[in-house]
Amino acid sequence: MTERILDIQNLQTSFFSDGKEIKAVDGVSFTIHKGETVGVVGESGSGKSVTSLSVMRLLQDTPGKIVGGSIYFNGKNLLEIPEREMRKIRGNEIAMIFQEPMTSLNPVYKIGKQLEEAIRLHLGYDKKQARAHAVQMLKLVGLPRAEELVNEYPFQLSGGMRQRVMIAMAMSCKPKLLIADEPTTALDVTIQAQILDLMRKLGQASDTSIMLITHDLGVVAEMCERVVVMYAGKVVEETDVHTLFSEPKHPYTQGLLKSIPKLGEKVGKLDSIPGNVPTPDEMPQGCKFATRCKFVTEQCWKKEPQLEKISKDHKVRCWLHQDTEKVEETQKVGV
Amino acid sequence: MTEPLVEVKNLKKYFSTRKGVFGQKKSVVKAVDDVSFTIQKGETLGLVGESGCGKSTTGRMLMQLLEPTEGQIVFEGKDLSKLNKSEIRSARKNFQMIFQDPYASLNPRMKIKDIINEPLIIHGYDKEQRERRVNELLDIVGLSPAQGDRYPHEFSGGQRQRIGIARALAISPKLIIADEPVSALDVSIQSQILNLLKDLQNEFHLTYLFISHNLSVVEHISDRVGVMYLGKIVEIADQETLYKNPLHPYTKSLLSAVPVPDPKIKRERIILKGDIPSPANPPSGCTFHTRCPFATERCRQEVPTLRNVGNGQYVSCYLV
Amino acid sequence: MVKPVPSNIPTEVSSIPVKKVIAPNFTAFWKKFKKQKLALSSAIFLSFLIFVAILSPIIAPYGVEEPDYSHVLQGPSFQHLAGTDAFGRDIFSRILVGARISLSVGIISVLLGAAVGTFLGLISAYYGKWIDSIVGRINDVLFAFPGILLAIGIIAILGPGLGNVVVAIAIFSVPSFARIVRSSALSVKSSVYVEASKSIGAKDRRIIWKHIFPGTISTIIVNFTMRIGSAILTAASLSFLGLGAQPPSPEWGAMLSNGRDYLTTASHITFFPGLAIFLTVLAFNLLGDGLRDALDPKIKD
Repeated sequence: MTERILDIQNLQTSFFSDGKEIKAVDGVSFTIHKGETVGVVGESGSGKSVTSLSVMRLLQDTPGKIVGGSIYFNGKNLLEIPEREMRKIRGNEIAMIFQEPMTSLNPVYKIGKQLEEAIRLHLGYDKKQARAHAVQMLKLVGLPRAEELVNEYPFQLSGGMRQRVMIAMAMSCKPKLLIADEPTTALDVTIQAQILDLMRKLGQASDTSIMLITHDLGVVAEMCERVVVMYAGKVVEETDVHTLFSEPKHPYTQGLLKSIPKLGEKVGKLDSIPGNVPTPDEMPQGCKFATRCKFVTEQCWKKEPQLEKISKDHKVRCWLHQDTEKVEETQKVGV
Repeated sequence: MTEPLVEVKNLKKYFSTRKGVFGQKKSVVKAVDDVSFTIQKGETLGLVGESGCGKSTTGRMLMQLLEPTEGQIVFEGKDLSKLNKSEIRSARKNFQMIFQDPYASLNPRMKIKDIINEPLIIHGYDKEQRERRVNELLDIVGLSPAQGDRYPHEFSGGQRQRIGIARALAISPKLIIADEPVSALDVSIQSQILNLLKDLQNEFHLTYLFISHNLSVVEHISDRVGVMYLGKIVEIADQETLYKNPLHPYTKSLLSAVPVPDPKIKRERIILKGDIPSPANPPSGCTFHTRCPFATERCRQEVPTLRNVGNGQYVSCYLV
Repeated sequence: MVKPVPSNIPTEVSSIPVKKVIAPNFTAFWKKFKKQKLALSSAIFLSFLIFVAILSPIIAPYGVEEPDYSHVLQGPSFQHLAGTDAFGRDIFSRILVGARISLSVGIISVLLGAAVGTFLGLISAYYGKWIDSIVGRINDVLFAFPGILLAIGIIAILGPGLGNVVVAIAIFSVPSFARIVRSSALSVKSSVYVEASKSIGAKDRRIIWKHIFPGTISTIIVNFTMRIGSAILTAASLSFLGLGAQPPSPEWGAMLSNGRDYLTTASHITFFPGLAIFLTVLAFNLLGDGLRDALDPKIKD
């Protein structure tokens, strides 16, 4: 059994505004093993980004607060350690790359300086060593003219190049876990292909685990070994990537897969998931997907299903798969 | 051969930026550089490409929101560049636009029924007609008339895009230019909107110019597809031909770069080297030669033109 | 006429209940504004002041203009809350009536300036090019002068009197409105919904009035409240210099001027009008601050 790098257990993060509590992450649990790339898939309101921010404990400037659960990283519960210990981990053992390469680099500092900041802080190198390491990292991510680039400013680079710099920064301290939040969404398709290729190679070379957050199932199919599907703050399905695409069990996953147009397979009409993600006021009592599910039953509206194991490596949160007897009795009620 | 609804001939849009203290050195951004195509009535022409390729600028020129530097846009036989301001305003009854950002394209201070009403007011429908039409439109796009009194921020992205579609349909245009209409929406909502667009096209005999960077979406909705790169069309063909048998190296690499949602398929990827050049400083000769794995000396020096290679397919490449 | 809708178009959206909404942003604005305690108290104070100003001729305990030589230069007492001046007139009553003058001069002059400035700002933002250059140059010239000097200059041309004070203040308020409306309009002009309006075929007039102008209203309101404060101050200064309100008008600045000779002996003559000016201008400024914070869309709660 490969070593567990990250073990999220029943994480609960809520946002407080106007006296109301909005449960962005409501009891999320999953594990990432060493060297594994896990995809966290979901749309707006699923809580996938908030999950990553919770792991990094980067919610201080937001109205969000972690209200429950634990996040075990390398044996330590990240939610119990003091801030200064967390700072030693951020950028060092857990690194993060964000979606917008245009805005995640500081525009007033040269690239070399930004890279060196993390290197000097965590690896304790002196100026010369740090500079050499920075140049090496830039070369590693495939940037030409690395020696000149360290003296340039972010605005002089394109989006793809900036994202490479972000990856260089993230990998510079050889993190055990890399969290990538929609790293290629803002990039052009041909650049995206380059960046994904780079991430895959780097991850393999240094045995880094990757938590890849995305809404793009194509990216998931290409990059991930295991997939966690989130909806309205909960995990609704978790399995390996092949099973997810060939035998998805949760109606949301099924709907999602059927609704994306696939290259080379033109259909007359796309299957679509009716309706929208309910707003916090409209959240149903039972299963959060009840408002849009084709197979919804009475029970779905009343009681919320738990995330249950239905086979060795496949967990689903759905009444249809909890009790085989019930499945036979199920009548199609709903839209 | 019936007359096409839209004919674009040698369209160019150059933006000049002034440099230097006295404004002498002008660098020119060739956003659209000699683009020609036609759109037949009732078809959907997809225009696909990455940033800086000029597809959005082309769409805006068709909408008369930008004035072309050179070239002609002929709509139903009439050359739009020869019309004066008020003639263009009345010509607008025939073509409308759906915008990318469902959040920004609706005036946040107006109720949605007023937003949909606006084109009707401008083009002189009377009050009774307008009221009827607004309710009709809301119904067509899947919203209820009761929601007409609400404001845009009370709706989700997908719903706002529906409102945008209702507004575009209000005065029954013949052509709709959709500029990345689903790019800002969640994946599960995208398919709803795409289905809606297809249904509307069938119902009201609409013609679409569908601009997008998402190849899978464009494949799904288009009859013909044009691929743009740095202001030029590099390949244009009917949808099936383009996706099954792409000829231009850029088209091939673009198609191979799209991640496919099937883990079993491990494709032969053509990964292009380098970044997309800036349209302010386009490469010489064939603008794609800097990244083309098959570039020759001729590609570096001479600009290729779109040639008919049969089957309705046109490619702009010396290697084909 | 449009054919009936095919049934496969989803209508699930209609299941969402319709909430009654008065104005979209007012409730959000009010919530934010309530949190600004200072601004709220300023708003209450000013509403009270305006109310009092309107009713002043009725509620003032004494007449404002007739002298009463038996009660000259008396300090504050129960009969004369703010004392009397050199002519025996009750200062408190004069302040109440003076409120009317100061407030109306302040509000009307800034209103005029706002109207002209907004118009100029809108057209220079929308049409750009030579209109923008001309308006810009006029603004630059007007801005080059400190407000009070400009006002004195205009009064020198037009002659003294409150009416001309209003004109003078209106003139020097124009550039500040023109400038902020222009920048606000420019940012609204570049929004997608304005482009959408153009693509529908809207005429310029419609776009400016229905789309761009509403987007600038919040900046105008904030600037308006801020400028009233300085307008009142300027009007008072002009009257103090003898260029504005003429005696025996109970304008606050004029009252300050009257008390100049008695600063050491009967300081209450200058103190109370001065206090009135101070509180009013302060209240307008605090209100403006609070409004700006409440109307600023970027400051989320």
